[in-house]
Amino acid sequence: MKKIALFVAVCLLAAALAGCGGSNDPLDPKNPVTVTMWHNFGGVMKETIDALIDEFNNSIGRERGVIINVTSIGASKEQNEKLAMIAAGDPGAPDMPDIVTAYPAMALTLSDSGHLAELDGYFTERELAAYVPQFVAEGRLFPRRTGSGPEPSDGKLYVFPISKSTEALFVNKTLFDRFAAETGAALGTLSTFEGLAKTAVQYYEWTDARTPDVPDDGKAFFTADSWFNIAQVGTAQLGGEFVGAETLNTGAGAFGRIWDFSVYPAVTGGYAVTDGYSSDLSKTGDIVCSLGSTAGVLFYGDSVTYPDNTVESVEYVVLPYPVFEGGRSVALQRGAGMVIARSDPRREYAAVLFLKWFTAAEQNMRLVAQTGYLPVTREAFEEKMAGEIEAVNNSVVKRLLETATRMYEEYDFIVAPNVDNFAALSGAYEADIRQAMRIGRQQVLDGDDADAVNGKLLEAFQ
Amino acid sequence: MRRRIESFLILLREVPGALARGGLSLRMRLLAFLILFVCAIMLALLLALFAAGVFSAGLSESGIFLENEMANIVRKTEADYNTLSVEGVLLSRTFAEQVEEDLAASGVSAAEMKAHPELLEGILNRCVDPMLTALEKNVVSAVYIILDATVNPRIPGAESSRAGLFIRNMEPNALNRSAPSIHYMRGPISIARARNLYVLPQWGMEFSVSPGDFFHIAMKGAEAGADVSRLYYWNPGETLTGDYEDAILLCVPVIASDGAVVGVCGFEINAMLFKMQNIPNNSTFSRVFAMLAPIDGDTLDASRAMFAASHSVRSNLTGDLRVSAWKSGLSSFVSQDGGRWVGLSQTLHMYPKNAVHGNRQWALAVLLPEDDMNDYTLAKSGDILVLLFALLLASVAAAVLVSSRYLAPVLRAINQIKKEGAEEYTKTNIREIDDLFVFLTEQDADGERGTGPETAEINGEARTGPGADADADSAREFSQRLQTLSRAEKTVFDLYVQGYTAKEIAEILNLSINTIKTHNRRIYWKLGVTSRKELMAYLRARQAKGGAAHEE
Repeated sequence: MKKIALFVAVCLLAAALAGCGGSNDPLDPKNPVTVTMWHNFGGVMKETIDALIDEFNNSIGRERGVIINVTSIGASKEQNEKLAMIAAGDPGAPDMPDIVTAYPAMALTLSDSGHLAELDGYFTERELAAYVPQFVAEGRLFPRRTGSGPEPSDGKLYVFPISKSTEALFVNKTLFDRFAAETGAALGTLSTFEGLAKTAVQYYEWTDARTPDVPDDGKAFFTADSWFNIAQVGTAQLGGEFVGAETLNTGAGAFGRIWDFSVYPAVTGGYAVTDGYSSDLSKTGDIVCSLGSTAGVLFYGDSVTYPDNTVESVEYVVLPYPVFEGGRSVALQRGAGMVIARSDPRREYAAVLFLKWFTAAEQNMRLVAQTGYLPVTREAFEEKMAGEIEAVNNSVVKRLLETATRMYEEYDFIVAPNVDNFAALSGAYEADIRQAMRIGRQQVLDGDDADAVNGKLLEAFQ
Repeated sequence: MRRRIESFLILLREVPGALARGGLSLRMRLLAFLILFVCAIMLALLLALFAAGVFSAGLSESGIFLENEMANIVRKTEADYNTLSVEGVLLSRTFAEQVEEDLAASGVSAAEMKAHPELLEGILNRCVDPMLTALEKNVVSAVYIILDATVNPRIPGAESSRAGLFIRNMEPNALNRSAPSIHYMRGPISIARARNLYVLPQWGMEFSVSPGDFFHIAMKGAEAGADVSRLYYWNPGETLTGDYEDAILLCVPVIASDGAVVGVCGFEINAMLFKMQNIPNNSTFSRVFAMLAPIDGDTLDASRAMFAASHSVRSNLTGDLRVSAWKSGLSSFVSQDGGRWVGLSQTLHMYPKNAVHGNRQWALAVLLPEDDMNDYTLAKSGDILVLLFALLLASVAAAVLVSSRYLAPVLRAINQIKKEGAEEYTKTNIREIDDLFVFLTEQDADGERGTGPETAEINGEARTGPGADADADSAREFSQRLQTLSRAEKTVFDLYVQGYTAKEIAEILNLSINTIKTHNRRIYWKLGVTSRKELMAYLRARQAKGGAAHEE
């Protein structure tokens, strides 16, 4: 009788343990779940992402029963358009992928429409503590700010950090040295916005003077991927806040300095004004330096192609984000995270399993070394970066990582504010200031005084 | 249950000894017979299942699945690619006219284009609009034109540099194709800026070509002088110099009216587009994939294939794949490093009759790893095998149980005869056994009646008790012993003396047979006999002696 009782007890215990195991791991290697994924890592970064996904599928994915299936690799703009269609429930909208790269603003839209899974429940406190706190904090979504009151503080985690970036100054040192050799310009002057603006004007005049018989054919020195970001960060450097609840603070005193940096050199020819990325202009030698995302480092390449199809090898250096004279060292924290579609617990669990693997220090550092992104785990960011920088083969990536690490030690970082009409405000500013630059440039070419044009344009803008 | 198993094991242990002695027990014989019968039935069932194809059901199902998937993909691929071929030919004719017009406007013939690089940007700029229209109209990842000329013939490497345009649609699968996501990958940067086109990170000004590549194959093929509709060429999957993704290219020569071949144009279907268009259903086999590859005899060139799968195939499959027959109409595909896949393949019709490149064969295959197929078929037939095995075990257990229960009354009866004699039997309600007991009892009775004193003499015990030579003392002792019987025992004794059997006595006295047996034991004990048989022999001897004394 005792033996029977013991046998029954053992069976019950085994069943209970099996039950516990089943509830924690809904995956079944014999019946794998296919997780669809969209990302925007194009070009050379695609190879790195593909290799990592292959490795996952062939190792832990096969062991646990998860297949990551990339079904779209697009530019951020197109991807955001598709996600907006999904959020709005537009006819013809594609199916929501299980994992997709998204910025917090788009994630909030998707979250509001009920498309996103809340991720806190899939991580233990210890697991989350392994990530850089401010990166995790950026992925916590709060209701949008529509008034001047304080933001709610109970945001849940929807955007999981996979890699981060900031903005830095990319300088074609080969071209700059040529200019510096004749004019005495120094790279150090590019550490402030004022020095950058002054150097841009000087470069235009120097290049214009090389063909005395052709007037106004000087070359641009600088451009920025986002003039809005310059205004946002510049205002923060000067102690203000550029984005208000519903409007932009263009009337504040700090904005005059931002305007002078942005528009005056543009109307005098020192800046290039295009709608494309700054790296496009860099590839053809049409500018010397630009402000852009550290994630775009590989887009600059290592050569310049001229219109006659001759190609010149060049060297890039990466300098910290400029700071307005007298201002604080502030820069922008960028980088999309991954969001997970709300589906069923098994699919969500599989997607989270991939994200945990993808952001583990080992994988994260491979991404860093080959793309120039910054890692997101504390282990990778605080302990492995120094060693990893030494091992990086690509000299530009190496310099970039050194600069980014230095910035994270010396700068304060801000993230895009979570206001209701942020996309509209930033888009309108970007379009308006570029338009002002083009108009002003034309007016100056037509013979108007640059200072007067700059002042009138500011007045009109405000 | 445990006792039964132990009993069965003991029985099995008996077998060798029993065989050695030259005989098996009845129970063993019955068990052997039943097991043999069960095995025969199971064998017949197995044969029937085999004949009905139950064990190859997994393979058949897989075959049907692969056939359906392949038929769908082949039908769609042939239709799509043939349509693209026609569109490519039309685009080529458009470009030929435009190039000729532009050159003619500068007084240059098509054959002289190379010598006038200053005209190339203008020519290419006019090509952009037809290219954008083609991107809106067709589901392709890119459209391109490469002119057989370079903007700077004087620089090193100019011989492998060709001017052209490569415009990519980043979202070719979008439902709304009227606003394609256009990005510029090759061509003069001035054209991209003038038209406000996004420039891809992998932008380059010109194409890099090399002998033997798609450009040279298409250019050389055009020398055949056939109509352009017979000159196009499908280039297998490869990565364009400076790009990051494999792609198939449709290559159509651009031929001026004077026969001068001025370049090559066409479409690109990149790996992502191919995958999204042709990915097989992976709900049954997670690692199934479709593959479009050049085929030469029985060898597929996987290194230049395009794959459609929910996982990456390229990392596990490179080089040639040898195709051979496998099972159930499926084929085996073996790579050079020993990797094995199974599935189906079919040659595609990618070229029209009399096409210059018509001898270049393409095949579409739908495959999965051989291990996955084996696991699936085993899982399918495994359930049935487990069921059959369980049935066999249950049948053997039933045989053990039946053989045991069937023989139990017989064995009990035998034990009873051994212990108590046939006359003490209990009715079993099994006719043959009851008949046997009756028969044995009658045999006993006949023996008692026929042999009497002889039987007593034979019985050694009788000789030690009151015997035929008992004298008056012993008669007196017997009488005294009779006095010790109780009334009930005396009644039973008297009935025995009258020749009734124990059963008849029980009926006469309306008592149970067990009560009679109890009386018997006490009577035997009191009279100093050991059985009824001995008692009856003694009485008959007493009666005979008494009779003789009277006669004397």
